Amino acid sequence: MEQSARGVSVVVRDAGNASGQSVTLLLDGAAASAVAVGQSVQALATGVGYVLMAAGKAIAFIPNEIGQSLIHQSRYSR
Amino acid sequence: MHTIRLQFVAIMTALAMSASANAGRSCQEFKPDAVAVQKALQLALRTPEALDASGAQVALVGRVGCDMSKHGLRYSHMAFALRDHPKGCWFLTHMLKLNQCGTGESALYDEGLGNFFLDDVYAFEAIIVTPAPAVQARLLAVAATSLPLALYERSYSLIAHPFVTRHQNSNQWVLEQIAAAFAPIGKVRNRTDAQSWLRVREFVPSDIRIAPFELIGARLFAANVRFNDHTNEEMQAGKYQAVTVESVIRFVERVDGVAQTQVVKLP
Repeated sequence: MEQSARGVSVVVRDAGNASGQSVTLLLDGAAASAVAVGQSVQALATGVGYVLMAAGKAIAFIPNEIGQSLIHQSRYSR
Repeated sequence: MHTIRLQFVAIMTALAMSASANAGRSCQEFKPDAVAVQKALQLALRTPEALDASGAQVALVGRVGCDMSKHGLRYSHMAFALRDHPKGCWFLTHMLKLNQCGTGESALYDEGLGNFFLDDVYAFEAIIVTPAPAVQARLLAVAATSLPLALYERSYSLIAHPFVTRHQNSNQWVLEQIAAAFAPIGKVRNRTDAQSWLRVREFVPSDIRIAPFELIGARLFAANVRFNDHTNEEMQAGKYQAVTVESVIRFVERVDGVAQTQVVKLP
């Protein structure tokens, strides 16, 4: 896990594969303070996407297509 | 590279008032574990299935944000779920204190069901109320106007008085739109109108007990619990009227007559 100007960069690697996928998380408040540079995270597969865990706590959710239909937050506007 | 933004800061929204304990806090940091996240997402996935099965276009959805059994209550917070929500299928519209923790102010949000249940959830359970089709049509008509904003008060109190417009809680915002939907068209144009109509139709709020010694803590530490809209009689009795999920559901079931209520619960 590395810090960047945009947020926290997490390189997700398969245990048997040296190459990895980089994901930038724009973490807010508690989530940002829950992770540290160099800390490893676990990706937990669910039916709606991956939950990234650090020290046993969820720090982010990466939704798949189904999960994307469940995740949204914006100010009320019409 | 993927970029996502997520918040796992749980907010003690709505009537998250497990009486004195929670009345003394306006916000809590929520760090869910793997099981909680999985369950919240599972509930978020099952809820639209139940909504679809009901045939509804708009429904009321309540969640269990904290243990409210001390007050004889189960659900803490309620939102409107719209099948054809302009931002996504079965997205919710509701009042939250996100980003204003501790300030005693609220804001209105559009959210997905995942966000809704990833908040600090005490039990993985949702209650869904589907009003009669004609009432749903009126609710959608109200939602399409500026009435939701006219019926909104930024000044937030967990125990906002049901018949005073000084403050508002999240369930009260839902209730006052329901009043606008049930009342004759044009009768409800603001919060005063809505509350007058609710009084005429004998809306019965819940009584929230806060003992005098708890009151001191609540006044000192909670920006989102206010007492200045309540009567001296309530203060002396230690019993405060407030709009709760249960009181909204009781009212809708009585006035609607054919509204259907179902519970979605994870094993």
